[in-house]
Amino acid sequence: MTHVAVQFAEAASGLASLGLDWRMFLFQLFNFVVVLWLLKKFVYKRLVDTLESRRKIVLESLDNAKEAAAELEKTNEKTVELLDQARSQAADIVALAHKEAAAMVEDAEAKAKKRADHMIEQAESRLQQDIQKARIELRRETLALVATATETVLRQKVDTAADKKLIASALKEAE
Amino acid sequence: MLKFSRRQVAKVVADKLLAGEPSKKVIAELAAYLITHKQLSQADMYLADVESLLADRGYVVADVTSAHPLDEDLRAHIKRLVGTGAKTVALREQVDSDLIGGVIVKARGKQIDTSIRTTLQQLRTRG
Repeated sequence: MTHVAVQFAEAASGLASLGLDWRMFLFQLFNFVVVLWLLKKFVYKRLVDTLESRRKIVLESLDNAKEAAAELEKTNEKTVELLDQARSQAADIVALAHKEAAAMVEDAEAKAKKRADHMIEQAESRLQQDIQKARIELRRETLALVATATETVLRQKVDTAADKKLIASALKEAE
Repeated sequence: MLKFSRRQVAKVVADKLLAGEPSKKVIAELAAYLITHKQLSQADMYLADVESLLADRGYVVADVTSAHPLDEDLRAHIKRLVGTGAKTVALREQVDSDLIGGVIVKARGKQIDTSIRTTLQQLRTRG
């Protein structure tokens, strides 16, 4: 013990030569250890737990953010795909609508033409009938006039002699 | 009073005429019969039947209508025309100036119409 005290004393005398007080040094070392123990006992663990918890939250958030980004990417891709499909379908629908509209127009034109042709045909038929009727009427009137004129002339011209010739000729034909 | 059919009466009349009984007497009997049986309105039909029966036995009566009176040549011509196979042909002539010309002959249920009036009428209705 004495030897150690001597050595301490020698060291102290050596440290003292450097301007350091070993008692003070031990005291401060003790304080440091106490403070370290207290910190470790009451602060570090909670701090580490809190930090760990935050780290986990941050990591989770990062994972969630990555997932969300991936989901967003997928959603964007799907949206683009759906938009493409929608555009394609819209183009098809528009093309089909154009085609149907053209067909409807064509059909309407054909019907209108057919109806017009039918009307023209009917009008022509009616016209022909009217013409035919007028012709028949004209022919009838002409014949009636001819018959009346002939009757007038014959009443003056047919005397007994002429009548005899006429009857004889008719009887010959009748034989 | 006994009633006969028109055909039976016509046959009796025709038989009597062909037997040489006076025509006035036979017609008077027929008239009496028609009056008795209230058949006077059918006298024309009875006479037509008598004529038909006479025609069947070769005695033809022809109704001839002309615009001018017929001469003998035309009468002979008409008799030849309607009297084929007949023993005698009698013409019942009538003048109708409306015919203008030509002749209408009715005999044995047939008719020959060559009148100008009919020809003109046909012309009028042909249109």
